[in-house]
Amino acid sequence: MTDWTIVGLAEAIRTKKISATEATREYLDRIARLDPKIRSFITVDGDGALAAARALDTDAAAGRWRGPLHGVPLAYKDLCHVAGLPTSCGTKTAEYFTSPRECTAVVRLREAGAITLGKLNMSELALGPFGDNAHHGDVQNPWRLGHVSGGSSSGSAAAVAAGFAPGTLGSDTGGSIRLPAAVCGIVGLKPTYGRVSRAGAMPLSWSLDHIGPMTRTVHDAAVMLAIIAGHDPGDATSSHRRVPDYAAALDAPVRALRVGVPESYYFEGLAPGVDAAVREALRTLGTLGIATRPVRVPDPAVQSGIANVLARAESAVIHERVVRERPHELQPAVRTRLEVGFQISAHDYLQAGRLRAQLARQFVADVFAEVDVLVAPTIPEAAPALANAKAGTAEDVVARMGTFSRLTRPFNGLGLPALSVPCGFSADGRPLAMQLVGRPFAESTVLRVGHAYQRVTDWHTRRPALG
Amino acid sequence: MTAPEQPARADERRARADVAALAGLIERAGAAIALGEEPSNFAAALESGAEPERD
Repeated sequence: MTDWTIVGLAEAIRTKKISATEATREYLDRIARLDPKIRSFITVDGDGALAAARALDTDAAAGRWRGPLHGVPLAYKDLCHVAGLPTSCGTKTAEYFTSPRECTAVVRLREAGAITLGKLNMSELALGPFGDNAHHGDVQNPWRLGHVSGGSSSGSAAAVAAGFAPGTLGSDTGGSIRLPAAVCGIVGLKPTYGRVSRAGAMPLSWSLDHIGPMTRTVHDAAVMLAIIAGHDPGDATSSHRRVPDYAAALDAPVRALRVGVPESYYFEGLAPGVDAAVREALRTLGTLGIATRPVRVPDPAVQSGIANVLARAESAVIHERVVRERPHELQPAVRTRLEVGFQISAHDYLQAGRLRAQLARQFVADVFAEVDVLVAPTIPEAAPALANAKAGTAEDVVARMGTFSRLTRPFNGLGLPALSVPCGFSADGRPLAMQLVGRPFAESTVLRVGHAYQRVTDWHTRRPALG
Repeated sequence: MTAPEQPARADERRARADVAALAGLIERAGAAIALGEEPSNFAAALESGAEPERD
């Protein structure tokens, strides 16, 4: 019953095959039965969800349809401020983040008819790619308990993979949507910087933060993006560009598109099986008439370094109070990462911002003159064991975090849209993924390629055996 | 009389090394940056790098 996609469930509700109340109850029952071993939720709002579902069913009976998500239950990373629910941001403090306004993306989804199931577990303060959390429990990978669920949007990915919700919202500052999506075998989209408002969501780094959808299919991601994208007076960085009908554009031909494969960095030092899975996906794209070619990319290490300077300086400023006044409440690796930010000089911070603008122009000119989409692995290895990811000193863990997120971080600095799509499994059954990267605001193009890939493959239809 | 300086903790030493490495990277990458470049040019870089909007 909870095996729905967003598109499938919305259609089933519209055609009265199932009511919003029935669907919501099924999801809540599954969460109650199975989430104690996954730990994907911090707050489940069962009463609120059922009340909203009943109201939507009443509306439907009267012929009043709120929007394309009428009656579809969703859940949100616990850094989105939702009226009436606490926002811990994965910290020990239940109401760590308060905001005079609700998260714009959540408001838009609700206005489109979505129901809020609850708030999802995450890495503390969105700092960390492994999904471990000392306060709310380590989010378990539904494909392999005891292995990382990715981060920082760990609960957002695990909940979709486990069938607790057909779609969720995550946030991505260095890979925090794409990494958990990849290791949990689902789709995750980091939109172009400015495409989706961040208003009402806890900031980690205002230069690098992105809000985006996490779903089972590319089609579902397109539907959610069309709802949450667009200018918002509450976020000065949000773009005024028109929002296309992403779902309607999915079936446009892909035959004329050109895909680039980076010659350096992205295919180096990968665990066994990752390179083969992504190259097999490239061959599959070739069978669709998409031309693939090697392409030289500007040094990603510089892009990552610049992103690191910005992220560390900004996150230290934003979360200064907890670091200075209650450092003992923070996980050691989180505290270590934040403290580094106090040592970044004004010179280096400003220079990083200037370099970022220059690199973005250079990257677009060099790479997207030759190709429409860049394809690279999302993760350098399948989900590692939680015990291995957390082993050693805080410095060991921080170093491991940098290695695990090294393929996603450059595209936060560049602000480019990047879509993670499942593309296989390791020999022992852990998900693998590729990311499709486009020019600024070319979400339609990366979604179109991802959708074409999913039409001829079945990785996204496989489910973990959870009971 | 001032207290003797304590040796830096391992994590502090590591943090300093991290910051020094990032500073070195910024210095090398910024050697040829244009005088007129500003951080706020980033949004303009994204807009100008996008396909033109169709009516």
